[in-house]
Amino acid sequence: MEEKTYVEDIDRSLYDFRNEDKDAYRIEEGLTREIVEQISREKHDPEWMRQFRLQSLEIYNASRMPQWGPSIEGLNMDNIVTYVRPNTTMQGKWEDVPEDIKNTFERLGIPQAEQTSLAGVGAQYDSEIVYHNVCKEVEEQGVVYTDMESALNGPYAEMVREHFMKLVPPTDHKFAALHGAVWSGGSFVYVPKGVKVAIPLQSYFRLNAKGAGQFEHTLIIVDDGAELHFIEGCSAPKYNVANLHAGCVELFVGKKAKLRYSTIENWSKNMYNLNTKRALVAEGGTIEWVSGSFGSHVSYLYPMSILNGAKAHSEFTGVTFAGHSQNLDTGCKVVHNAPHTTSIVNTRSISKSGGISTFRSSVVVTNKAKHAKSSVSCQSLMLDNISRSDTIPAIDVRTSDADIGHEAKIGRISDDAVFYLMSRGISEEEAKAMIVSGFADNVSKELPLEYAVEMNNLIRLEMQGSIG
Amino acid sequence: MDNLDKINLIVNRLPAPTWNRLRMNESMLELAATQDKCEPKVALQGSVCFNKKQLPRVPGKNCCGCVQANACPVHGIDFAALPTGMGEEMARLGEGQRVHLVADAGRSTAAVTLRYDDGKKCYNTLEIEAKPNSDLTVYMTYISTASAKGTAVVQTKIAAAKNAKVKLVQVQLLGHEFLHLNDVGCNLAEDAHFEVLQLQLGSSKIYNGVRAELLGDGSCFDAAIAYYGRQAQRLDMNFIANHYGKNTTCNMTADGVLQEGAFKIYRGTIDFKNGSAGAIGDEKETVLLLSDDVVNQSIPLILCSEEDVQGNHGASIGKLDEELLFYLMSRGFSESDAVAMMAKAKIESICRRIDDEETVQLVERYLEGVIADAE
Repeated sequence: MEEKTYVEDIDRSLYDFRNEDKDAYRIEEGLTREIVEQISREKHDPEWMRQFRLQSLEIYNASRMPQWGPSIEGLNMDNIVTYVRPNTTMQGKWEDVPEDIKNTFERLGIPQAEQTSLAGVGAQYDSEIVYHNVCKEVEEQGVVYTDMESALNGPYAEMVREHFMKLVPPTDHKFAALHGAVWSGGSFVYVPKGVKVAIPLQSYFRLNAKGAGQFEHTLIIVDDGAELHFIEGCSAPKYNVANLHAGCVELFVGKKAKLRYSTIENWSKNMYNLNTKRALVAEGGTIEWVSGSFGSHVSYLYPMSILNGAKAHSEFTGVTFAGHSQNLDTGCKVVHNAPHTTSIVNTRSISKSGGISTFRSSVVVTNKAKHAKSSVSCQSLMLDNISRSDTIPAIDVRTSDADIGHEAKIGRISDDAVFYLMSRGISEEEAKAMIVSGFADNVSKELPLEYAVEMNNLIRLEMQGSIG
Repeated sequence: MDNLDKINLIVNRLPAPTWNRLRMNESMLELAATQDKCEPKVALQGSVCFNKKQLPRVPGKNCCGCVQANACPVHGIDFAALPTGMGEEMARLGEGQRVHLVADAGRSTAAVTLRYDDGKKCYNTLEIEAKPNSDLTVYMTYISTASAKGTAVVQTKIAAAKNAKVKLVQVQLLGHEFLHLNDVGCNLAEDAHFEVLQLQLGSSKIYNGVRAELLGDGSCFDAAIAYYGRQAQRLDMNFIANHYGKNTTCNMTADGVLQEGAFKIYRGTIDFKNGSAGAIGDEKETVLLLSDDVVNQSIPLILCSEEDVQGNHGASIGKLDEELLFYLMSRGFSESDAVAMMAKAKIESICRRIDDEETVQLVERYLEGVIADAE
């Protein structure tokens, strides 16, 4: 098909390639008690985790589907394979990772990024972590960065048990319960008191198997006074059947600690992304979410911050780009539950080619949150008449001593801005791509350079053929 | 009507629901049968009159085969089908005591006073057909004694034809024990203009819904509500502007004060339907919170399936600005004086837009009593 928009050569096959599942172990499709027991055996769970999984399954079966939000009728759990194990164990060196898997991550730039700009990497392929490494200097600071399974059985077992799915319990919603039953993979991070990790850690999730689900669990504990930047990336090749991502991220931010959690989500457009992320912030602590959502067929994604200590702070910066066949329901939640807590939300959303983008948020200020301040700003850009953009923000305030502000705007690309750029010799198509990239700069400027470039490339990919 | 002494209604539904645990998607209320008569006092001036020609329709049938389903040369406007802010469930109440007005071209006013005796449970409907180039102002006042109890359900439906202007002023000054349902709907044709000003000051529970269907190109909807929530009042609001026509505009504002355990939920929806190119929608809410036992819920929606529109909303919620308070106190006002001034200012911003001196004086007298009680 002839390209209508001039952009630099960007190859979609960067993400949309796949490996055969040969030699991989695939559990049978569906969700039954036997399957959950089998997963628990495969993963050598301690007894408490096995029981936890089974209780979660009961909760899942008793919970109903959400009645709001995009339709997930196309998701049939009877057809989803909840556990696929590649034919390798976790390695600490890329040379030891099987060739096809290593090539996958090389094409995605992960080993290169590790060498140039990361303090540690966890790479998950289907249901298991295949590579995990943390640089020596960071290890010597006492930072723990390991896969969840090792953490569950090693010296941090008690810490993990104390925190695992306490922030996001299986009763939270149906897909939290599903996660509790079939979770596999993911990372555990512990940053000791006062340690500032200068360079980011990254986990990358690649779902290769057709018709499979990925249910990684990320648990991060940043102890008092510590600092960490954690980056999460994900992608999958496109299939003509549904894939499911129901991961869970639990973040515990200690007193006067700081955690930045950045995500560029680029799942394929057959993916149902039903992810749950939540942070609990103690006195004086800060959580910063940076979130770019570009992929998935359907997304339900609302990172939540619970500000539980005085002067705790949350910032959420996000961009969502909903293109053809996508229905992305994203946003954030903040609960102010202590005095002098503050929150800032700054989001942008773009809808194009029939895509549906919904910004959904809630700001809850309890009676304990005296002198709380919150500011929410949401801007939406519609690029054509066949797309949709909805803004559904909710505010619940239960103290008089709070200062809450909210604003939202929706509109189209300014004709004046396009004219200005064209008068400087830029084509119309390129002008619109530039304006959309600029519109999303709230996120790109918060990311490390390599990820900002990737994000802008994703925007340009989406803008291809948008002018006709 | 359902043949029950009590009826449970789900009202004020959000057009696009959100998380159930927030409990903002809709409200459920229990209502006793409204079978008492409350005869409104209606005074007309200008080119507006009662319409006694409205013939009953066969429900669900377009009996004359006319092209427009909601208007018929024989039976007139199908008001039963006209959507309102509180929602479809209001139809379960059946037909209230009906007044039907028709405004012809030219200026006119209608003053409708509903005076409720203690213990009354009444349901009144006002249907207004504003013909092309009409310019009608309707003042609706709901009054009772301060100690009266009762139920006051009022539904107002307006069909504004091409280039018609309708200004609806609704002032609610009912006793503290009243349950009040105030439901408004308006269909706007090309270049029609509908302005609604509401003061919700009395009652213990108020359910208020306003919905405008901007069907015709160039039509315009302007809504402003002010309230003073106190003494554990519950104020439940739902405003909806559906933009269908090109170059339509809407402007919705809500200003209020909450204290003494009051609960308030404001739902405001601007919905740009596909085809509403050039539409502009603005929504703004400010809430002053004066005590720690209040609950404020706000959920301002913008829904959009049209590229060429502009939608804006803003909400500001909080306590009295400390610098402003300091300024006033440095001029000799006490804190309670300053609070009273701010509360009054919110109400007066609506009063300034009411052209009827009698109505404004009624509000001011009522407010003096309220503020005196508060002090």
